[in-house]
Amino acid sequence: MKDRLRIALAGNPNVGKSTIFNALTGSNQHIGNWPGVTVEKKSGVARLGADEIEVVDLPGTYSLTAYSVDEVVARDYIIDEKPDAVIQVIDATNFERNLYLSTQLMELNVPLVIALNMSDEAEKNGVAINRTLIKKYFEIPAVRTIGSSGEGLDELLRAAVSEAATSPHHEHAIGYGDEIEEKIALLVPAISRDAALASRYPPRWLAIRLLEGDENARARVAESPVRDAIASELAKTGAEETEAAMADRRYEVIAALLPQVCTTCVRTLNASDHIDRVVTNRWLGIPIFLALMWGAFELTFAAASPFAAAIDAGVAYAAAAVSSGVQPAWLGLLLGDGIIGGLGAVLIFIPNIFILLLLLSLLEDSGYLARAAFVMDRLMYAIGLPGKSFIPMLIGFGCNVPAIMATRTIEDSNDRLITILITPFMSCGARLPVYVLFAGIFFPQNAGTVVFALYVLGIALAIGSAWLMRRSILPGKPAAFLMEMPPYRIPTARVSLRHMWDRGQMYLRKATGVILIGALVVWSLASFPAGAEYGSAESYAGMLGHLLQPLVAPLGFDWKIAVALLFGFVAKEVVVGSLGVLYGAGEGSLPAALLADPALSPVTAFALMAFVLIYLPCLAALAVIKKETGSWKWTGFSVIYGLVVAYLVAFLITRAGTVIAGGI
Amino acid sequence: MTTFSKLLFAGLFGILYTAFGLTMILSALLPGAAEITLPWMIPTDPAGGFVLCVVGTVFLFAWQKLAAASGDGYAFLCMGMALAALFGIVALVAGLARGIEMLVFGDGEPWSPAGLLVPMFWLALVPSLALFTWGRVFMHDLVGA
Repeated sequence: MKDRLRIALAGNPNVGKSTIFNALTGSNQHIGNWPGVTVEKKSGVARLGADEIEVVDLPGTYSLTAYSVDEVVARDYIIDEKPDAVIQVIDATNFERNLYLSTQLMELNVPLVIALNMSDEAEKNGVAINRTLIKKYFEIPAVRTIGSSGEGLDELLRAAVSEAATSPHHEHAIGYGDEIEEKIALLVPAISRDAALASRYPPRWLAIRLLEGDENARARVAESPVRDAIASELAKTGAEETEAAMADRRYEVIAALLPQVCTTCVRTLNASDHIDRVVTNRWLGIPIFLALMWGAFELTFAAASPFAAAIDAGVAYAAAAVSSGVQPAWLGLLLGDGIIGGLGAVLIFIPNIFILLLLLSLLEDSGYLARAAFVMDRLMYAIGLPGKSFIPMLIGFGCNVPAIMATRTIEDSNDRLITILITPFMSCGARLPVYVLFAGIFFPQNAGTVVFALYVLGIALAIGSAWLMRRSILPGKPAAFLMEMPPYRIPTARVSLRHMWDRGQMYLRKATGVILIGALVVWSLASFPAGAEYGSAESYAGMLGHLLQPLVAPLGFDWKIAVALLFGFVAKEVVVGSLGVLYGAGEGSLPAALLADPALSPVTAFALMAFVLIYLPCLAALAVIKKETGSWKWTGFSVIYGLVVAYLVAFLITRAGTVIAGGI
Repeated sequence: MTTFSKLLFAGLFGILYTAFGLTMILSALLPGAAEITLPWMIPTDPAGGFVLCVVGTVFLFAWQKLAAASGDGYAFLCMGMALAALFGIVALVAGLARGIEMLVFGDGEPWSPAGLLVPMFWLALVPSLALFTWGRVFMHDLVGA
């Protein structure tokens, strides 16, 4: 006997599945106002009276054709795990488009309930959906819900529980016309001869999938003893024409039923559409995107500076007090120079990171970032990638790890691989401390602009690399970009601040984990062997740095920078933490120490920032690249390619900068 | 607000924003130009100049579409005012933050309240006021267009 019911939440992307999931289970799953935020299934427990119900949030999918990884995850869960009921969350403001998935879920013969989500917005737009008629014509209960306020969710759970208890469940069948129905009629008996196969998958559904040329479905019958009989039937049909004919038939069914259940589902232009005329304008779209990004970086740099100055003063005071006040002396130095100096050098940038994350959350929650992907589509397509690839790249501004995972929404494997390989060029929050530190010191008048330039450089390198890969090692034609634009919403302070905190706390956790360990390792290397002057050429850090220095000398970097870059491989923030330790920031200000270093100039500082942007994905990003590509070869390629490009770009900046500055 | 007023407003601010934006870009690129522009409190800031040009172009698009009696003209005018207000706030916050850093912590570049009067801020005053005053009317026109 099963302990508790399992209910899956399915639906198109960005219809509010995760909002409903969070409201039902009390979870804190990330929600974004753009498609593809959930790329893995997530589960939680909801309560209905005294009963516990397991709720599974599936990735958004427009159909069950399973062309992309997230679609496969959603479909396989429904087919293989057989949840007791499926709730299809539908965006009531866009009822018609959501019904295509409904027709496919109906064919799976799963107990199904429709959640008419965002009903308040739909009603505001004059959309009136008759739930009684949905039940009558589709034989599916429909519940009015507002995910953001939790309205209707108890009723939704009760309806799902009631459907799960309905046994045997009625079958929904769409008639595909004589020609296709004849083919289905030939395949169904062939499938039914394998009892194991037929008990696992509804034979009619499997026959339809096979006729549509679904590779995933064909793989499922490859092991069956009836595979030859099925193959001989399939050999007589052309999959592409059949798939198109079946899709047409589903749309015909939708077109016939829609006016019955929704008398005012005709879309009229609203304020979102008018705003889109401007921000997705062919000539203005990209300039407006760049201008908004500049505004975000200008604010990030300027608004954070008083807070950063306050933390800097506090860290310098604490480090000096601990270094001189704690006995024995080595312990004072360890705590002052090693821990407070190293960690403090990174903590100073917390205001910058949190402000940038807040601004990105505001842009995302307003719905603008989805438009950014749309306006970049033309450019992306020209270089050989679908516009969809720009969404993971934008997520990469926060952190490369979820960005690489977000590539699961990309159907074509080569498109996806290229996007995985170029995403590390997007400037994540961990690189920001390096930019803020060096831009603030060496470009005080234009620090925000310099940071903005580095972000643009990252985008340009990503696009250039994609162009190169498409024309060499990963050829192919990008898939067309089809994306539903979410409506604009005024971001709420509560949601945007929570998004900022969710992402920012990862940085705080790193500060007390890997960055602290990194600082201690660098301090140990700078302090030993016994008798060597702290941070001198005779210390282990000095020896290691001098070993690496010939490699980075053409870029204008000295041994301290070489050591910091080496440890930055673990996490990019460690670069600043290491510099804080090596420059003895505990005894004074790191910016002052860097400014006084004759090896550093505005040109080398900019080359260093570019190098940090490009040179390596961090350890966590590399682990995700290995997981997502399933290949050490591509993981290794990512490392080597990043290093080579970083070296070339930094070298060019150093040479060009030296010439422009009137040097050699 | 009549269509003529909207046309005048969009044209005037389109020209002002674009002119100041180009001046800021050129003062950064042309040797010696900064000596002429800085006394007029026009900073040498190519990125900021680019942003002003973008806002100016949105206003000029609004002017062109309003002149052609296209319904989109309202949308462009509204967005031009919104962008002007947004970047005006960015300039104000950035200026104030620099002032606080200098006055409280003694860090950063020398600062005076006059440093707030950059074109990105003062040019935004009228469009921000217009957005605040006429925004609802514009939004109504926009949806009804």
